[in-house]
Amino acid sequence: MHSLQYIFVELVLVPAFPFFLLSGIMKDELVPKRMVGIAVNEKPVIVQRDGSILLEVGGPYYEEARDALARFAELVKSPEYVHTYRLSPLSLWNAAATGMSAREIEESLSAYSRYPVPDNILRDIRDYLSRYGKLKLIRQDETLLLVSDDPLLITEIANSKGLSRYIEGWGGPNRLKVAPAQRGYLKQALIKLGWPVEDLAGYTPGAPLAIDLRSTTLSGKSFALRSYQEEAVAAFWASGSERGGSGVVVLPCGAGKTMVGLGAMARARCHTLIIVTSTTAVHQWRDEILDKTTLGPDEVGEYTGDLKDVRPVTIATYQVLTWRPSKTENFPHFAVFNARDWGLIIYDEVHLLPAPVFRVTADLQARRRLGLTATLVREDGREEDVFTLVGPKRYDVPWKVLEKQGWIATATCTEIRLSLPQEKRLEYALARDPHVKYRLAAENPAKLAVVRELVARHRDDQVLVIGQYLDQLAELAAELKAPLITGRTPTQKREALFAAFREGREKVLVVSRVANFSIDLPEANVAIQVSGTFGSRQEEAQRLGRILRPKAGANQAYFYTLVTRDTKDQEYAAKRQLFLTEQGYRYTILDAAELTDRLGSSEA
Amino acid sequence: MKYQEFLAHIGDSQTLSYLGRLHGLDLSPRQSPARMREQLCARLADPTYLESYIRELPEVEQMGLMVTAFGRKDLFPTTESVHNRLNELCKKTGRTGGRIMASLVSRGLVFTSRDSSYRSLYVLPDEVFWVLLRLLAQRHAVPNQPPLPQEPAFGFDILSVLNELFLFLGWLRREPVRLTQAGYIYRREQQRLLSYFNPPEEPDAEQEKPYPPRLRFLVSFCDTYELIAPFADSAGNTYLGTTPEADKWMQKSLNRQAKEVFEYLYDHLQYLHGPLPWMLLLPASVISDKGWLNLTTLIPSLTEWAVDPWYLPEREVPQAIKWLTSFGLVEKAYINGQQLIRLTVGGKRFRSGLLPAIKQDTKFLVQPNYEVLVPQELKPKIRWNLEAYTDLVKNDRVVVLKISEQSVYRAFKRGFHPDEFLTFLEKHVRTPLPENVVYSLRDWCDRYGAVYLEQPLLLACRTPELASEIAADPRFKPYLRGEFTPRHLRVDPDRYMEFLAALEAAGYRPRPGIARDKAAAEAKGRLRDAEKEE
Repeated sequence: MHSLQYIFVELVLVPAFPFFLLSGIMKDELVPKRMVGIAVNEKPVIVQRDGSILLEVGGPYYEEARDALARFAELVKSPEYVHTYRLSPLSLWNAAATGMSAREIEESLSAYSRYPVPDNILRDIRDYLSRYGKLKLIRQDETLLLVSDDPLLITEIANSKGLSRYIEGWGGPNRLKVAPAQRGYLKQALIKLGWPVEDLAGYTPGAPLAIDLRSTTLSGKSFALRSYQEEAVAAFWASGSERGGSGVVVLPCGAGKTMVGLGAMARARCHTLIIVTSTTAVHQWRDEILDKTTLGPDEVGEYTGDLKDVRPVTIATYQVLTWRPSKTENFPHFAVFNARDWGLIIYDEVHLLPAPVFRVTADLQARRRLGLTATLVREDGREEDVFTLVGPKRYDVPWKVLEKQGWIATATCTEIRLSLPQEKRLEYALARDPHVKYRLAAENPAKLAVVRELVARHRDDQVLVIGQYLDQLAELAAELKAPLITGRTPTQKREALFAAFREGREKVLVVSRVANFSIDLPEANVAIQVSGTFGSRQEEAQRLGRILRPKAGANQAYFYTLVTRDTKDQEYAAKRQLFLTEQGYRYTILDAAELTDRLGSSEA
Repeated sequence: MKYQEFLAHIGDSQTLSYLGRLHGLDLSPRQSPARMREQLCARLADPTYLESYIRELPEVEQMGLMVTAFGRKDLFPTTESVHNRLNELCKKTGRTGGRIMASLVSRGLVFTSRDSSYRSLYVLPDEVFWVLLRLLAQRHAVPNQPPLPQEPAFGFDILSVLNELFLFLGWLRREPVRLTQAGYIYRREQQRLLSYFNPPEEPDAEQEKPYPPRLRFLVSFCDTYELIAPFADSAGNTYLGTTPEADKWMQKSLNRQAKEVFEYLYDHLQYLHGPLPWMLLLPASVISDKGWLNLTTLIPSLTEWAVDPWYLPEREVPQAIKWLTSFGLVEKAYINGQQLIRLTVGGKRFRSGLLPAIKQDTKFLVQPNYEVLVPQELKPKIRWNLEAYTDLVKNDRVVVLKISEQSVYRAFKRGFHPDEFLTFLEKHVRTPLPENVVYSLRDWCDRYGAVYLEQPLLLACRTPELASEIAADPRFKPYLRGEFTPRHLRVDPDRYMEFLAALEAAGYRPRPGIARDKAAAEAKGRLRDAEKEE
């Protein structure tokens, strides 16, 4: 035996292993053949670890990628160059509900993704999709059952303390009985625990009602739903199956969400309850229903502060429903939800769904429910509850897409900045309360001259001047010699003024927040915003929406927002504009002094 | 070291011939030793032959090989420790550790050496080590099967590590972090920082490890390259901030930085944690067909072979795995109560020691909502400049920064010039800057410095008339900057000596220098006035 005597040398082991190429190599078996060979930097999608997906606009594969993403991801924002989508449990479960598999989703993402899809995202996709279909709500005779093929899962649910109040006991092997009134609450609770429920229990058909859409309206115009409206109705209705019949349709302001509601009613052909934001909106819906459907006036009722007329189609306001004599008492008008055998409930401006109505909605799970909105943004963060209780988002289309197609007007947004007069600066500087500061800045007297200039510039257009503060609005109305509409304006007078505006007899209307929602003034093509509800993004979008109905001719609308620089007004304006910039709108910013130079003289 | 190097030390033909016969070679002693070594090396370096030879060995000798190879987590074991361990393990067989190892040495599978302290060690040629590694991996391999993930995770990416480094340096530059008395970053601050890591880390619960793996690596790297340093404020509190070296380092190319970080990480893996993480990567890397290494069965084997009483695989292996998963070098899975690991795609690359080239980008995107989308491949110099004016929103494959009035003002306060930022943005954006962003930036730049503190130098005159007289005199115009009060004139502080001389030459008798005690200066004046009146 021989031993080797030498100084110890550290071993360095460098075995040869296959060298894997740069990041960007796709796992070929997941990439559809048509996308193999495409240069990596041409792929428009970037998937982030947090589930957000960036989609670059303008490249050769943008539209293809967009259509692919829309099937399983939610569009979050769409500013100019990069749109953001999000993968969420709900969006994945919705995809599962349409029959998509995890592999198809992974394939889609991998095909268009510039970089490898993060591992945790692939895991989450598989995990979430594997949960879909494991729990189902079905109806057997008159009993509502929660069923699963996974005995461990169903046993866990049966023994869960948090869920016990919704369960009435075992209804057979792997089946739990659910109280019908708890259907919505149970779904909500299970979603929170990460378990989606496929609701196959069906809907109460409701009392039948013969209703069709007219091909010629009562006012003599030919009528048909636009293509995207048809798509939205079809997405909601889902051929009448249990997989559809509940959900939210998100369409830009001015895109005709009311028509989607009418389309849904024509499919459902049953007694319908429609809940809207104001009495004016009630009347607008009523007019549209009578104009565009085969229903007669005796079939459409109003349920408002002034009138409590329940008919096969009843239009109620959120306000009247959530009224009660005192905070400790019940809501007496909730009885309207049970007044008839409603087969369909439509929530207009569903983003405004008040908290008490959430509770009632949880009890209405057996009825078809349609939510309509342009801006599903809630300051209380309860968007998830809207999706759970009303239904998932069924249809969504970016504002700019409809604008490009001409379905809504092309809007130019301009922010005009002006300075606070010297005499107001000290008062502003000394004010402590931000609301007071904002009011001082928003009511900047210098705005008056700018409004006057803009109105003169648009003397041939239909102009809305919109604001928050009644004193300011009153002053503007007096200066412009235009009518003023506020919350105090009686409904009859409001409607007369709106009618005069529609007919062109009034060219300018000065309006308060009452005009934020659901006011149909298709002729309005100029909006001048002098103040708003602090940083509300939703309000900004809704106000722009007042002028987005398509116009004859150039189909152009003008949105001006007057902002006092270096004040809270400017700070809030930046926040307000976020939603619209995320929809792809650009704001041109002008100094008030530049107004003449950039926009031309009003004398011209 | 390979067999070739070990055998080079055997010059004796008889020994070589004996070894040759043991391994089925008829090496004629008439050949030169070099020729004999060559043939012997060719036989022993053949992995197929070596593996089948080792498999045929008695079990105790195979155990001897395993103890030698894996009995310690770092250096090769001493002969004594191996003998002692084998004695304990082979009590029932009646064979002693010494005899077992002697047999292995005589077969040419194990050699002896000495370390720097002249202790006798057992060492293995690379070829033997690799065969043992394969055998170890085979014994503890688990085939890939449902429900285990089919494809290995992508895992380690040098760009992500670099990105976290930029995040760390940017964080410290934005606002230096306070250090504890022991010199560590406070937990709360760590939590804030680590929440931006991707995936996030949590501060380590163990006292002796103040930082979780990735943060620890970053601190170590930055410390080594002097990119960060502690400093104390006037109250004696210690902070950690960036150094001018960080600015210089950020001027390097991405590939250069990637190389430095990669090499440091390679060494960090070996030296900071010992070769245990490395050792775990090895068997994992020889398992084929996307199979897994079973840690649940491996750890008891490692424990059995441990010769060092301070080496506790049941504690140290999980720590090493934590490190490896933290960097995405391996992925974990569980099946039937067994813990498995597998090299990720990135882990395999890392093991190979090869670094992919990175194509640098020079453009980023600015959105109308003031967010800046930054690809990880952005040139570091550009990124460093951008980070000075922005806040971090999200750290991901595309990093999201945000421009705000506060972030821009913070940069101004640190000495960055307002005008530079807009020019910089316009140069590096991929698409035109949104108009509202341009407008806001111009606005903020204009507002910067609208108010500032000044320390004026004043000429105090006893009377307003005297002040007016001096202000009107053309001889003094070059030195004056205007009136401050009717009795005080503002003086150019850089030329006050000249001004005093000019006043003196003109017949005025100014008090020399700058009066520090205003009251005393005025009191003396008053006294003279009083005397005059009297």
